[in-house]
Order: sequence, then structure tokens, then C-alpha cells
Amino acid sequence: MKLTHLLALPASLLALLTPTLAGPEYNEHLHLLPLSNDYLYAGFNFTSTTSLSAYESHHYRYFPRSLGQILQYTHTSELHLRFALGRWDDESWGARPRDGGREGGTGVELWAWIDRDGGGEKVEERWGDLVNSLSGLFCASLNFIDGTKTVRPVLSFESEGSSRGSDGVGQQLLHGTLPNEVVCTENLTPFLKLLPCKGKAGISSLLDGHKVFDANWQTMSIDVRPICPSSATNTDDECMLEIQQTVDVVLDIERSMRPRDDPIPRPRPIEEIECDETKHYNGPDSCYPKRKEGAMGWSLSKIFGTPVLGSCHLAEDDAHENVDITLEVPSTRVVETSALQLSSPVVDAQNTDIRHFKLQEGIHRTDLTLPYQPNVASTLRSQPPLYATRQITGHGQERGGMHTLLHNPHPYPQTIIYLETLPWFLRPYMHTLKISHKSSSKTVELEKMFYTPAIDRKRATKLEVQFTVPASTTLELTYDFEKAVLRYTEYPPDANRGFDIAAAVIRVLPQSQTAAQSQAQSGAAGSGCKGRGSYLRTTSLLLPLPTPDFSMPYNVIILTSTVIALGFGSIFNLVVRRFVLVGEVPRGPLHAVVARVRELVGKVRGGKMGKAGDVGGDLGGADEDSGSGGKDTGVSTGKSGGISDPVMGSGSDKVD
Amino acid sequence: MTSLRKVYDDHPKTVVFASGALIRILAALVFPRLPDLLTLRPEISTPVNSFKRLQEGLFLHERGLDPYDGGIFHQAPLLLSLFSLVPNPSSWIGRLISIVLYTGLDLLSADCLYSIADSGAGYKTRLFTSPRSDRVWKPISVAAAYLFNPYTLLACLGRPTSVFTTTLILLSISHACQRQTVTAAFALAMASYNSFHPILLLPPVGLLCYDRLCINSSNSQPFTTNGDTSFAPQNGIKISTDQRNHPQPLPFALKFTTTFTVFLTFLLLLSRLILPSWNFLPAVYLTPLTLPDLTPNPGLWWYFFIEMFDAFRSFFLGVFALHMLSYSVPFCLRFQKQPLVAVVLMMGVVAIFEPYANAGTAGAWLSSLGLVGHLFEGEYHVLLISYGPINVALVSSAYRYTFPALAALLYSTFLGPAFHHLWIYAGSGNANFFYAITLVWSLALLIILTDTVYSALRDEWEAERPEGKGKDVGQI
Repeated sequence: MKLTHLLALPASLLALLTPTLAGPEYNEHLHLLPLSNDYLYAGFNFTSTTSLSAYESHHYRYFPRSLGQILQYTHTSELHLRFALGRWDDESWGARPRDGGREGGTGVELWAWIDRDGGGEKVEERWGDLVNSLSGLFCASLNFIDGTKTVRPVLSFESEGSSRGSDGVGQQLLHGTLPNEVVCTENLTPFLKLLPCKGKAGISSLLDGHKVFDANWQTMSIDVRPICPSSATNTDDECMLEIQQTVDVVLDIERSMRPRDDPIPRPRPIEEIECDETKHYNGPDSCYPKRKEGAMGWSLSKIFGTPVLGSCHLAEDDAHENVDITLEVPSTRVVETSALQLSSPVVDAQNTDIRHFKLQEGIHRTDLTLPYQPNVASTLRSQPPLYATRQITGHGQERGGMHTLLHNPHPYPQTIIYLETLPWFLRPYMHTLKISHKSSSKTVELEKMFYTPAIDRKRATKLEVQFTVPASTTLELTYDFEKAVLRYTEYPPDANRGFDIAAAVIRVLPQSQTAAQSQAQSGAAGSGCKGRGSYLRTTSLLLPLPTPDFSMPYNVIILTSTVIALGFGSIFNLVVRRFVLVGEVPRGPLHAVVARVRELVGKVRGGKMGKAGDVGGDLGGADEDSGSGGKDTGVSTGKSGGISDPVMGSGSDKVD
Repeated sequence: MTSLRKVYDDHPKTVVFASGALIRILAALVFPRLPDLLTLRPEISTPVNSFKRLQEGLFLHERGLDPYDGGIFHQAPLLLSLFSLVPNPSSWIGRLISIVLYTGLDLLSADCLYSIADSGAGYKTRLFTSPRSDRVWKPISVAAAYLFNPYTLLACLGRPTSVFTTTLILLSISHACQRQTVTAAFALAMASYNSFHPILLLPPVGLLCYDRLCINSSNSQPFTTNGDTSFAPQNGIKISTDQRNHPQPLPFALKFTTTFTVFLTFLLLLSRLILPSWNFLPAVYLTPLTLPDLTPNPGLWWYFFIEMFDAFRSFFLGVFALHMLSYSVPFCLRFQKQPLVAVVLMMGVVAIFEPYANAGTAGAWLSSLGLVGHLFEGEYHVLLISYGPINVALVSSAYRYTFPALAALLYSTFLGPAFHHLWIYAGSGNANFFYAITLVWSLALLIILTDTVYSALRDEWEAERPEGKGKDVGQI
């Protein structure tokens, strides 16, 4: 033990001192892009790397220690965690940032590659540890990702990292979703704590919960992956571990710039509204607001509520071409910078719209202002690879259908992988799965299908299909499902709201020949997921389930038990007893007592009434009659072993 | 009209069976959407017999997946092999073929009922001859009561796999009546393999077999019973002489149970051959015991276990299962003299208390009550061709609670779908509506069951004491 320590120490010292390529690195980047209809896309990216050997010897520098320890404890080699909110409007905003590779479905999404050594149960155990630890770290209900929310996709995700040795074989991919998780400030704070500058300096100082979660679309991601040099023979090149944290938001510029002292949205006074006088109904009492023209003015400090505070340049050799802020606006747009050093203005010769800025050291408050400009040619965003929407069809709470529309706007066919994770209480019927052209209802053949049916209360359904969407066509994917009725304790308190169904993940595979051109078109968002195609996610769905009456458990238990007892009681009453004629019914001992009491009462009353007159005598007589009847039966009881003898007797009489 | 009458009088069986088949196939042809609609009804299709779930299992099986590795399919594996030979029922021709298949099953069931009624097992047994044997239903009436029962008709169109179970049970009973012990055990093993609960019929069917074997051995003697009256001492002598020829009861029971077990094991092993794993055992046979799927059905279990507190769930599951078990042996002991009654009563217990109860099984049981139709004291029962199903026959019976039972049955039949609609689709009623209806339904069936027990016991008693007929009785 000690020996190895001693031996390892000089080696690690050496590794620290020698300026190799594999040193710890950190850089951060903000990408700003105004979208149509006065929306602003802001993509934050924070990347830090550490060498794998330093990581394994618990030497953390820019890599967050809290996360690193969790990953080591759970033997997780690659981790992807997403917190998302809202919907990316790809009709008007175009292709998704980073090819959709850094976004998640609404709620929380987590997938990780976990070492498989020790068997399947070990993997389950590690996954459980992982979600529980992350739950504590990010203040999210990730611990609810249990077996019923975890699937093992085959096609949809590929390892982003290049791990050592036989990659992928020794690891298991698990994927869990929490569609009903509401992402909020409490998740952002621990997210920022993982950064080296803790959100106090550099572009991360812009991230304020009030603004980020006021966005129309927002996604936070954490990706940890190992990167090893491709040439396996060169053992000198050390493996690196990279953590990439991103926050992508689409902000409504107008709403974000609402002044802090008057945050309540209220209609503007009529004097401030410019009326469209071309409308024929325009008059003194009616006003149609004029469509705003040109690009709205905005500034970082107004939109995010604060300017960039300082800088967060941590790498020793700060000379390399790291840029902090990239602004993608038409080259005609005026940009006023305060204390920003305009670094290399154009990277791509073909794209003059991109401007890069670098934060300067030592300057405390940096801002970026784009004033209002009436005539700006709007930049055309590239089309997304695919449009996808998903709905639940049918009415009633018994069954329904899933209906997904997939539209390929491009003039070339695209192969996609469609992944759905369905909770067990939604029971899909795969024999009704059909993919057909929307216009001609001609069916499309599935190329591959991986299906894991749900087990009640144990496992989620995983549906993974691969098929090709032909050029410029719309396909619809439909199947029927049945809604289960749950136990009443399994419903949430707001049972009639419905249950959230996680977003479908669609992976558009890269084209062999068209890949190059499509990448060139959407090459703006630079990220490391070129070879894996692009991703998009549908919105999550709300599934109403039939509900029992929650106030009734006692009543139901009592009523059902009564019916069963009624049947059981009357049947066994008949089965265990014998029939006799009414007259033969033997009187029990209680009856003799009752008869005696009645006799006594009759005597007493007879004595009283006897003085009163004839009527009383009659009554007494009647009483005596009944009394004597009682005596008679009493005699027959005395006899009775009792019934069978006369029965047999009568039987033989009959025969005679 | 007269010629029609004549044709009917000459070939009653052909006419009844042909018209039964015709109704089913015509219904499927005239209303092509009806079968698929009925397939989705919760009253007919339950998680363990739904035709749609069978399609799903078939789909998975044909693609090499284990259909039991999931929560949807809980039906017997050999059904997969059978239905893989049938064309896909989503096309109209496939649907028609499936309807024809189920019609065939119904005809087979009706034929079994015919032969059971024909064998006379209902009124004349080893130890007992019913004093009402002049009132026994004609076999053709029993078959007609099955073929024209609206519940079995709807179940045939809805195509739940429990129809197979019903047919196999009736097949087993009819073989038992014909003293074919091995085939009776085999058919019962098939039925139990198909849906677990017929295993409860093992003691009464065994008893019936034994009884028929004894009758056979006594009939082979020159001594013949005159049948009208039972003369007690003479009867006793007869038994004592006959018993030398009778098979021994204990070895017979052992033999019957062993045959049943061997066939059941054989079927399970055969299933394992066509499947990749043993997963089907818990999926098929544990589902009716643990009730993971709480889809509404006309039975008593589903709402009870929706509302059950988690801590008591397993306790009550045990209680309910044992409750069903508790009928089998007492019926056999009490109805030793009338084993067919014990079988029919046990079918009723299964139909009422099944975890995944359905109207088809209940309808089949109501129809098979015709086998013991002579017990229903009444003036005359009308021949059922023109008047419809069993209900008419019951109206004329002197059951104790005929009217409440029939009223409740009709009430729940008509209001059940309506209340289900109110709960699931209209949203103007809640689950209690449908739950109340299932209670009424079960209660109605229970009353009929209890009354059958009553009249069978009364019949047995009146054989001993003919003077008690028509008089009020008490019980001790």
C-alpha cells in the first residue's frame, strides 16, 4: 500500500508538472442567436477536462469533486443528465441547437453507461445508487427513477466517449425519465455549484433562476464522458475525462426585459400601442396593434438582469483561441459593446454573421447591447431534420391510441430511430402498430424493432423502432393502447389531472452521402455529436386514467364482503343442515324456557283476569292451549334421536 | 309453417344446431363491427381471456419474443400454436374464420350438453333416483338453452378464450357421463391448463365418473331397479351386493387424480417446448391468484382489490382464493347422490367468484342449469325454441327467489353497459356505478346458485320422504 503510494507520487507529480496536452482544462462559451418573433436563444457551454489518472487517484481540479465521487462509487463511465422545460418551436425557430444532442424531454432524463462487472443485479444496484446520489446532489426527485421508469435502449443512444479497451461490451446503458418533474431554481443552484467559478464570475454569472426558468424553452445538461486517443497503441496519450455542462434557453425578449420593479404583465396603455390603420375596422374605438418591424433592441444586462461579472479564464495558457461569447446576428446589425474585446471577427469565411467576443481580464462588468434597428434582414435558420408531433387519440378512460406525425421536409429519405418509454399502466398493443403515409395510408416497413413489454408494477415498456422516412413526406405512426386501473394507493393526490408520459426520443441517423451537406447546412451549432446524427424529442403527454372512488375503501370492503358472505352463508346453511317438515322441527332448550315463562305469565295474568270476568277466562284458556302445545313438542324433543326413526317408519309404511 | 314444424319434429337436433350456428355467423356478417366491439367489452373480455390480448401474444410469439415476459398476455401457450394457424383476424375473412371456429366450439358444447342430458346422469344415479324424473328436460332443450342463450351468443362473437375452457369442461362432463374416465380427466386437464380454475371441478367430476362406473357395473347384473321408488332396506341390500363389482373408491380417486396430473404435466411440458422459458407458469397461473391487473369485469374481485389497503392485500387474496376452494369438497360430500348437481354447482361457484369473471362463463353456467332442469318445480317448461333461453324456464320454476334473481339479472345486464359508459366515457358517473352493478350481477347469480342448492337438496329429501312434497320445511 505504502509502497505503491510512494511509487505513484513522483509519477503524478511528473504528470502535473510536465505540460502535456492532457492537462486539466476549462473553457466556457455563450452562443447568442436572435430567433424570429423576438426570441433570443442563449446557449451556455462549460467544458472542463481532467486526465483519467488524476480522476482515478481522486485528484480533482476543475472536475467537480461531488459528482466525481458519485461516478466512481457507482462505476459509471459515462453520464448524461438533462433537465428540460417547455417546447422548442421548430416551425418558427428552425433546427435545434447542438443538433438536439444536449437537450432532454420535459422533466428529467438520465442515461448512463455503468460497468457490468458483477452481473445484472450489480448494475441495477449501481443504477439505484446513482439515481439516489444524483437526486441528493441536484435536489430533484431522481430517486423515483426505479425499475418502472428505466429502460435499456439498444439503438437510440451511442456512447459519446471512447472508453478504453473493448468499448461498450463491459458496460450497460440504462435510461430513465421523469416526465412529471418540474425543473426549477433549486436544480439550477447545484448545477452552478459544479462550475469552477460557481456562477459568480464569467458568463455563468448571467444564469439567474428567475430569468432562466421564465424561458419558453429551457434545457440544462450535464455530460460526462471519457475521451481516449483513437490510436490504442500509443499508450503515452492519456485518457481524458470531460464534463460538459450546458444551459440552453429561448427567452422572449420582451418578457425578459420587463422591468424588475414592475414584473406583473399587464396590457400596455392604449397610447403606447401603435394601431394598424390599414385595417378597415380601424377607428377611434378599435385598434389592431401594428406588427412590429425590425429587430428589437436588447442587451445582456436587461435580458438576464445582470451584466457579465468578471471573467473565468482558468487555463494556464490563456493564449489559445478560446472565445467567451459568440453572437450570430446579420453583419448589418449594430452591436455596442462595453468593455468587450472584439476578437477574431469571422471564423468561417462563408458566414460573416458570426462575431466572436472575448471577456477581458480585470474588467468587472461587461455588457453587450444591440439597439433597435428597423430594417434588418432576418437570418434564415436551417430547417430541422424532421418535424415530429405526438398525440393521444380516442376518448374515454378505457383505451386510446398513440399517434405520431413525422414530417421529413428534405428532398432525401432519412432513417430514424424512434424510442418510447411508456409507463406500465399504459398497455400498448404492438400488433396494432402501423407506420403509414399520411396521404395514401400506404404502410412503411419497419427495419428494426426492439420491444420490451411492461410488467405490471415492475418494468416500463420500451419501444424502439427504426424505419426510413421518405423524402418530403409525412408518416404517421399509430398503435392502440389500453389504460390500466390502478390500486387506489397508487394514484397521486391529483389523480384526475392524469399521468405524464415521457417524450419520445427520435434520433435521425446521419446519411452516408447527404451527411456532409446537411452538416454543412446546420453546422452553426458546434458540438461534438456529428457522427451520431441529430436528436429531437416530442412533447410529453398527459394520460387520464380511470379513477376509483377514493373515499370508499371501507364501504367497498364491507359491501363485497357482504355479498360473498351472503352466498357462502346461505349455501353452507343449506348444505350442512337437514330438511324436516315444519311440524317436526324440534324445539331447543331455550324454547322450553320460553314456554315455561309464558306459562307462568299466563297463570299470573289468568289469576288477575279471573277476577275481572269471562273474557279473562277465555284468555287464560288460550294461554293454556299454547302452553300445552309447548309441552307436546317438548315431549317430542325428548324422544328425538328422533326424526330419522319416523322417517324410516313412514318409508317402510309406504312400501308396505 | 306446418312443414317447418314437421321438419323440426323429424330432425330437432339438426334444426336447433343449424339455427344456432346460423345466428352466430349471420350476426357476424350482418354487423361486421359487432365482433370487434364485443371483443373490447369488459363484461366479456377480461385480462385472462381477451381476444385482443391473444392477438398481442401471438404477435410477440411470432416474432420470437417471449409473450409471457410482460404484463399483457396471460393465456395458455397452446392457444398460441392454435391461433398461429388461423389467419389474422383483422381482415374480414380472418374475422369470419375466427367466428366460425368459435361457433364450432359452441356447437361442440351444445352437443356435450345434449349427450350429458341424454345420459340421464342428472336424475338417476347410483344411490338415488329423482322423484321428479318425469320432469327432466329434453336433451334438445338443454342444447337449445345453450345455443340461444344471449350471453353465450355474445361471448361467441366476442371470442374470449374462456369459451375453450367452457367447451372443455362440458366435454369432460360428457365423457364422465359416458364412463370414459381417461378422456374426462384429459379434457378437464385441458380446461385447467387453459384457465386454472376448472381444477376445482376435479373432485365433483371424479365423483360423477365414479358414480357412472358404478351404475354401469350394477346394470351389467341381471338385477334391475324399477326406478320409481326407492325402497330403503332393499336398496341397502342392493348396494351391499353391488359393491363387490364396484370399483374401489380410493384407488379410483387416486387413479383419476393421477391421470389428471399426468395430462396436465404433459400439457405444461408441451408448452415449454414451444416457448423459450418457464415464464408462462407465473404469467398464466399466478395471475388469477395475485390479481396484478385490475381491469373492470363483472366479478367481485377487481374493485375490492383496487380499494384494498396494501397491508391487507395478500391476506384477502388468500381469503378469496380459499373461499373458492372451500366449496369443492363440501359439495362432493353433500351431493354424493347427485354428482352432476355437484359439478353444475361448482361450475356456478367458479363462474360467480372467478377473479376475472365474465358474462360468457356465467351464461354457459346458466345454460347448463338445464341439465338439472327437473329440479325447478313448475307446471311445464315450454320448449325453448320459440321463447328463447333459460330465463323462460326459470320463470316457471318454483324457486324460492326466482323473481328477484331474474329481475336483478336483467337489471344488471341492461344497466351494466350503461353505467360503464357513464363512468368511463361520459364522466357523469364514477366507478361506484359500475361496481354497484357488478354487485347486483353477482348477487343475482348467487341467488340462482343458492336456489339450485336448495331445490337439489329438497329433491333428495323428497325422495326419502315423498309425503313432504309441496309442504313447508324447516332446517335443522
